[in-house]
Amino acid sequence: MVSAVEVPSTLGFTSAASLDAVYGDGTAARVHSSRILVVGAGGVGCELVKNLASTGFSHITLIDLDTIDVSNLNRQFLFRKHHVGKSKAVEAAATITAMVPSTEIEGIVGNIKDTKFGISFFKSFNIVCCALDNLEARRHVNRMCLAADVPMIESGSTGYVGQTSVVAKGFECYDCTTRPQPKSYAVCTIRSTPEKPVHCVVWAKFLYELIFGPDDDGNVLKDLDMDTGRAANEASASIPDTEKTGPKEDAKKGKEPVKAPQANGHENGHSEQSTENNGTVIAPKSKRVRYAEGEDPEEFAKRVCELVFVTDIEKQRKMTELWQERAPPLVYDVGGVVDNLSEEFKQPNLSDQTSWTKEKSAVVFRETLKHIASHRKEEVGNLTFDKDDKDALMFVCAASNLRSHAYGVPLQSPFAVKGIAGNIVHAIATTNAVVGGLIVQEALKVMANNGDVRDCLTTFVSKAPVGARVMKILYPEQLRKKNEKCFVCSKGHLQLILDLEKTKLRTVVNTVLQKRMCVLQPTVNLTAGEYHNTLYECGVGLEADEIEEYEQNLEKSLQELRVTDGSELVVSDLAQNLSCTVHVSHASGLYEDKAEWERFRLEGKIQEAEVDTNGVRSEDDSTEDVDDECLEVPVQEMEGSCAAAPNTSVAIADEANVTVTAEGEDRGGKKRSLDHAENGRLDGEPESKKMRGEERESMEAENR
Amino acid sequence: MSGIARGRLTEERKQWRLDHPVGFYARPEKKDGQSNLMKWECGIPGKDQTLWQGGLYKLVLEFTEDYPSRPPKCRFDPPLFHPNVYPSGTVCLSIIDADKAWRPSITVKQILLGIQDLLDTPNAQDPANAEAHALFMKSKPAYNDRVKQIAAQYTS
Repeated sequence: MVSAVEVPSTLGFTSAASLDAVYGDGTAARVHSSRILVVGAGGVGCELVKNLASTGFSHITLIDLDTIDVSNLNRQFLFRKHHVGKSKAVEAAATITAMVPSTEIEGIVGNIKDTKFGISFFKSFNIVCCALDNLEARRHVNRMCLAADVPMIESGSTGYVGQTSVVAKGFECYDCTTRPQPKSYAVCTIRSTPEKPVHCVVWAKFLYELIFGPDDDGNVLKDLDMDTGRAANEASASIPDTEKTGPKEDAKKGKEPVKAPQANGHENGHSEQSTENNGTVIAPKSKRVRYAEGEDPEEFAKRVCELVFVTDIEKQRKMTELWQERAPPLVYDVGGVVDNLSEEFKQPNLSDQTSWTKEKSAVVFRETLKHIASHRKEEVGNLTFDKDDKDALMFVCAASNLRSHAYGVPLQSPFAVKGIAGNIVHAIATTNAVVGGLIVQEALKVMANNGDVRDCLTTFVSKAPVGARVMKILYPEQLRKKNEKCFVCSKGHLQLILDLEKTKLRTVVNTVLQKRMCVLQPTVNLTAGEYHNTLYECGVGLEADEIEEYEQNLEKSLQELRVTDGSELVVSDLAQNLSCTVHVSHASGLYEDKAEWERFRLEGKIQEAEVDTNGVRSEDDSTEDVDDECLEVPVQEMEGSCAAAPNTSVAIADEANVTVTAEGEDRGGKKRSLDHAENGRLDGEPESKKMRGEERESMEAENR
Repeated sequence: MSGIARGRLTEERKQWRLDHPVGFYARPEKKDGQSNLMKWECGIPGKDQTLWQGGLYKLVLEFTEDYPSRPPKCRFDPPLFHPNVYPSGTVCLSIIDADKAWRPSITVKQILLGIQDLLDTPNAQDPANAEAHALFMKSKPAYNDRVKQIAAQYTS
């Protein structure tokens, strides 16, 4: 920061003299000459760049990978209707230039996680401001800024709550605390005993991907796909016998290869067609619920309706144990509902805020199935749920409502379903404005102290509690000292417990390192006594033979790779300048009831609470394990793109990151997980915005 | 003590992957399912417009636990005919000599570029190979022919 530069008397809309008077001599000069990076041009980003430019920051670089959606316009005020479809970063920069011509602002379309934005890129700025909507990117920027030694101002907003904080060497970094856990539901809740709309919506999303998506054995509804033909048989043949069988036995039965003479005896029948039986409803057109190529859309819709809402529900009803304390699900002949709805009704408006009836859901469900099967044939098999895909949303809305009907859960409007399915959090423009203002305050303090963050604060924005005598919405706090156990800023070590014989390196790389620890391009070096080996590298600068070797390593078990109990893995990141040590311990058959990629425990010495409870964890306390599982998996998405709503704006998270923990058929485990999900601030009622706000508050409190 | 050498070499590896001169390679040795961060296999291309052009000369860098306070031993494998390369293949160059110009801040990339430079600009004051030195001093044409022969022999 060169003070020799002549400072104009007016910076943006601010007088240089007043900046100096308030923040100390030299501040105006530094504000004028500093280079500032703003990551994200969404709700907070728009407020922020406007504030920065009018305060006098003259060299702004704005980066965002997104394009402008019509639903952004209600609060991302730098954009107008004619900007829809264009780059957020570029248009925001153009608007700012028109507003404050003295500002040099550059808009870059790009992903901040791209390796071209390396340490030297970050080093070229005096301050970095984060106005991001997802945890992965935040954690990445946090690491880059620590590596480049540039102060970072972090921010977030969702509903009535928000916060800003400052990260610099020596102070608490973004990875020092454990971040909000993923929404996690027990498989059985989703599969057999939904109690809230959200459970039905999650189920409907799985169903959508089961029918139209890529073949995925991890889908919790996979059994619906595999056993349908057989289950149908069984359902009609053996109702009296299974009256007393528990769910476990029943499920097993369903999977035993029944040597039936009929055409549906094959285990892996892919899209086998039986031409003789095309009259009957449960004729095994296909053994699977998936759309079989060449199938008549009408037949297909009928078949799915029957399998999902009749056959499967009947099967569920037979698990009498489940229905002792709750009502058994109702069978509803979706296929047989008379279609007496008008054409207009069949193409319902997505922002429709009235709940659907079961009849309407039934008709829409059938129509959507037919529509996708006949009009989007080429995409079938590759569709994944996308909140912006109208057909997908119609499907999920109709299917979840039918499911809700069966299980006595209140039916929802398409608007509400979109909210739940897209993980939408209602965002409020005013909160964004407050957060955008706070960031500039912190930036000015950094400028005043020439890059030092000693005067900076963490500020929480929150709705004043109902009934509070002092109505305040800002809660400032001193910056905290760094967590000495943090693996990002303090050379903290991590403990990884898994079954060395059964766990593949792929699980470690993909799930533990990339997902859980947010490492972008991991290098894994093994040290076991005198033995050293590089197990994995990825990214640029590798020879073909190296790439091949590492690909092969991914498929090997850790034991094959000579990882032993007590081995150390030194994990570093090609992009992030991160290096940390992971100690590996062997636990034979750990979490065998869970999905393959969930069979590990990462004990962060990241959070003290984790360490404290280690010793006293009681045997039956399985919710603790769920906690571990969720340890800092990024999920809470803030301030994303949005959907239009009358008064409030709505931020939609990038991905509805709902993890279902595989509790298997363990009844006890299921109950506990369910409780856990409920305590864990999850809610299915999107209409209760206030409630959500409060949840967030309690969650923030939990985390700080 | 091992920490610092390995840490530095991990960083060297990373920097090399992110950016290295065209035609060069350098990576830790892999043998019997073990990688040895302390021993690197490298390749130096002969500079264009020189006698060494077209050849790729293989070199091994052997680091000790004292690295980077002490330089790695740099050895052409197989040994190369050059006035400043000992018959064993070891390179004699000031920047990789602990008693001369070595500094801990010198990177693998700088070492390899330095050695590439040395190929075409032998240092007559510091002979390491009597035969090559004698030929270089006495009969340039014969020396040049010999080098061209070597370059042809080591085409990559």
